[in-house]
Amino acid sequence: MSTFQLRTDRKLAKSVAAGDVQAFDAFFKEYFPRLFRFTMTRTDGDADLAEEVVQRTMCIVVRKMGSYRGEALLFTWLCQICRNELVTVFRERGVVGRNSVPFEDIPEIRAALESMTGDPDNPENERASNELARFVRVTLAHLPLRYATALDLKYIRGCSVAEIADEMNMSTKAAESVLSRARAAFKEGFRSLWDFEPDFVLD
Amino acid sequence: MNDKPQSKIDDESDSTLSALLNLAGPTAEIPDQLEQRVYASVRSEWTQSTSRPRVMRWAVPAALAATVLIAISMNTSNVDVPSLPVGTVVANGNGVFVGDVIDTGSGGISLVLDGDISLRVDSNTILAVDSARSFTLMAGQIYVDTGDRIYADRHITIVTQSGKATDIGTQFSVRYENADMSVAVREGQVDLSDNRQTYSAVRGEKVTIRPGQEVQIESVPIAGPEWEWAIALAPGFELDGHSLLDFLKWVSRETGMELVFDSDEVRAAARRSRSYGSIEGLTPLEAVEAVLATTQFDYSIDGDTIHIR
Repeated sequence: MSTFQLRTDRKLAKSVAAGDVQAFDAFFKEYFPRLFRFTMTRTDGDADLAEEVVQRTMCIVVRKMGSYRGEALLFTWLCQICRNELVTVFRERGVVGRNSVPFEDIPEIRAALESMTGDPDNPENERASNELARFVRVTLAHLPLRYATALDLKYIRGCSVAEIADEMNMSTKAAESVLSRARAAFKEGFRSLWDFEPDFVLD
Repeated sequence: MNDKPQSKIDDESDSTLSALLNLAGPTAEIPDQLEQRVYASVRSEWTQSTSRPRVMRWAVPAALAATVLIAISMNTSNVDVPSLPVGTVVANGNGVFVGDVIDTGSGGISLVLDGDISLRVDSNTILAVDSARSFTLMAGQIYVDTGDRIYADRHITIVTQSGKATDIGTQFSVRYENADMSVAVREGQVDLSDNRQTYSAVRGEKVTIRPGQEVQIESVPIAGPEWEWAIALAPGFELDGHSLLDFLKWVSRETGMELVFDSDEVRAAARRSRSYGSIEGLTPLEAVEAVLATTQFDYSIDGDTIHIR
């Protein structure tokens, strides 16, 4: 767990709790998109449901911001509260949660990946592929926004470093640095969150 | 132990990363309206939790419409030194404080800030009071009139998620809807900035910022339907103690219409004349008709011009 990030989180939380408008806006701008995308992975893409859950979660968080002690990352804390709200909202709406224990929270990833190497028409393989895609999205949601943005620009949209620099309003050198750190953060996050070493080469 | 050279490991790692990210697909766009809704709710909750307010609802008669309901979060923190209001609600004289969130329902509300600045909040608008001179517009539309003189301490800043507008005197509106921020200027100049640039809008211009798109600049008439909602919320004019000329200047300012006198003598006579009574509940043009009917003056309206003779 990054000591620097914890320090940053504590400082931000303290400012938000103290009524600092700029701190509130910075908090919302950084964490709302991440929390929303995290929640979407739990609601099978139901945006209305995700909106309700995220709104309830963030309202609870801003009310309780003064009690954040910085023992876990701020986003981890947000996700914990979000999971509880998901259960509550599912119950209120009579919705059956996608899983009582989400796939990524149980150590079956290796089996899913191994089965992916088999018959591509096997529905189990498709399910495993979908689950892995969801893991990736959850991992991305846990990254700082600028890291997820940099990875999206590079690997999904195929942007060059110069284009990334322009899009993110920074120098080329800074963009290279952000990309490098984003890659490392994703790999570390994927590995440590899921306690999983896939049959890929991840250094 | 891995015997591969580091460069090969890096390439394979990058390839794997690419494969994983492409499996997940592009980062999903979040609709601006959805974000706006959540922001408004969470901001309101945060404001209440940091200022321990009461939420008050009462019936307030708007300038012309029937009774409407509004809600204002009042700052009632337990700090010993009471905070001073930054302005008052015209309709009932109640104070407005830093930290308040003004949420109008089906009717608008008119405020007067320190320094006689008129701030009019349209219906279906959510506006947070950040300081005596700075406000966050979360949704809807507001109109500001900082007076017909430019003073250093009368500048108002309106912030939205898409940008910030700061006036250099004196009459302008700001609208924020679906992440689009529009500033229309009736008089003076307003500097509008987003994360990249600053734009200046002058009298008769409307500048619109749309995230991810080019800034749009268009002409806007300084009199006419665009401003009717703001005119309807005008604080009103106290005839007693003012000359007829003062009254007519107020009408001109509120309507955006040019005031023309037949001659210097007519203008001087208007300066010397006094009117009495009340124009409460009348629009500015209705008030002209009512007031001039009791005087020696006559008037006519030609397009955007009021002729006084």
